[in-house]
Amino acid sequence: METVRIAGRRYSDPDVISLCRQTGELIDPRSTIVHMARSLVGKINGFPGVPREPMERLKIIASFNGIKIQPMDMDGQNREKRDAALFPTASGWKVLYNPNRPRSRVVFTIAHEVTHTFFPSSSSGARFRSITNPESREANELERLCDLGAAELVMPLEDFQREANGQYTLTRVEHLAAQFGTSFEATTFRLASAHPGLAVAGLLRYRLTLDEERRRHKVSRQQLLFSSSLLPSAQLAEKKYRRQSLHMSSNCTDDHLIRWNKSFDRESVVYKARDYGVRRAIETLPNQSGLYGQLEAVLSPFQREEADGSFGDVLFFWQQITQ
Amino acid sequence: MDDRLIDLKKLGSTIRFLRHGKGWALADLADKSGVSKAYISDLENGAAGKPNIQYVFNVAVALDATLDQLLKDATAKDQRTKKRRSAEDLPPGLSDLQQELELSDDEVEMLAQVNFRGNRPKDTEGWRFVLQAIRMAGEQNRQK
Repeated sequence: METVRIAGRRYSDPDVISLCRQTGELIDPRSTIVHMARSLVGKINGFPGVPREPMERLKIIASFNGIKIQPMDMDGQNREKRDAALFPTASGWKVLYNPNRPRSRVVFTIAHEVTHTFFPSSSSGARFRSITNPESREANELERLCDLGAAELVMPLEDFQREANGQYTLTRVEHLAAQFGTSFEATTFRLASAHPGLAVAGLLRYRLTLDEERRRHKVSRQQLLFSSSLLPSAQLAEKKYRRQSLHMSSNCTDDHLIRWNKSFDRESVVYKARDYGVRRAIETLPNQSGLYGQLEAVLSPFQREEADGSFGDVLFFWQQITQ
Repeated sequence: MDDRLIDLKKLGSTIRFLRHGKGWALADLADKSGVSKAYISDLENGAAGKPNIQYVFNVAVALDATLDQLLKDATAKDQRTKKRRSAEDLPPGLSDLQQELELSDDEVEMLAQVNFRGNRPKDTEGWRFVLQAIRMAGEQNRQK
């Protein structure tokens, strides 16, 4: 399998590689996707009559890119949970979406599918979001790029910054989400990527690392077999809030990166986000920058079934204090 | 998008072409799109000014087309138009020849873009000679 490395990231998905190579030279797929999405939004905004309602606006964006949108109840078919399907037709593209999903999810999903058509190899066939193995690295890199484009399409940079009005804080997210028809989670991530200074946002899960889980499983089996612990429980690692996803402002560098799996210190305010409401404190992030900033944390409105009962999934937003 | 980059007549003719393809009268398209008959008529005649994108989208949906299909040709055509020069920007004599022979914009643009080895034509007669030479070459190619 071919792998290319651009701007410190590895890509091996055929669609992504075709985008990287479309000009003959290797180009960064992230900046290309952002550029294409902004260019599309720019074309639409040049016309009078662009609706403010997010779904109506997105339908026009899709149509401008040669894509027809059609609702279809996909839950009823084979009971497979599908959000959307994108496929080529004789006259262009068509996106079938599941209207039974929350409106904010539908908007982002359609924008995600529109971004799929930016990839030169997308015409090779249909892609079903929930059919592609979401755990594979290739699927993941393509899907993340499509999420990046989707954020640009549904929350255009200038519009988002205007609406944020300088108030980059989690307490502003509900208002912004209502304006753009997006989820709390997607809007929180956009708060960071649209921030004019240094800002980082992401999702944290209270969990062990994979190695720690294996070790714990091994010990529990030994305890079951020998009725005694060969390895004292005290030596076993405990769960912590660990980085799941990460989104950074364009001014951030590799120093601001929080690597996947990295845990937050137990004193961090993220462990206090167990009640409703936003918690905040002045902290550094677990990265190389060592910069102090305002860290905000809130329980994610969407909790997985597997999420810890006491320590649910947490969204965080950090920004450098410039005063 | 800059309205100078949209060929409104092309957009109008595409809409009319698709409407005729369905055997619809203006009133039928107005009924199915929810856009007034008067506005569609203006659109088809290229007289609606910079088009309201929501209305054009409604028309596109009614015609089972996309905005891309309606606007693509119109945009591409106009990008060529953008390169066209005004009479003042044309080389001396070419504008006069265009009026005399009623040459199309494409023919004039083609002549204006011809690269010459040596002197460029300086007057109407010089351009007439070049045009005849090019047309003769075209005839010869067809005969071959």
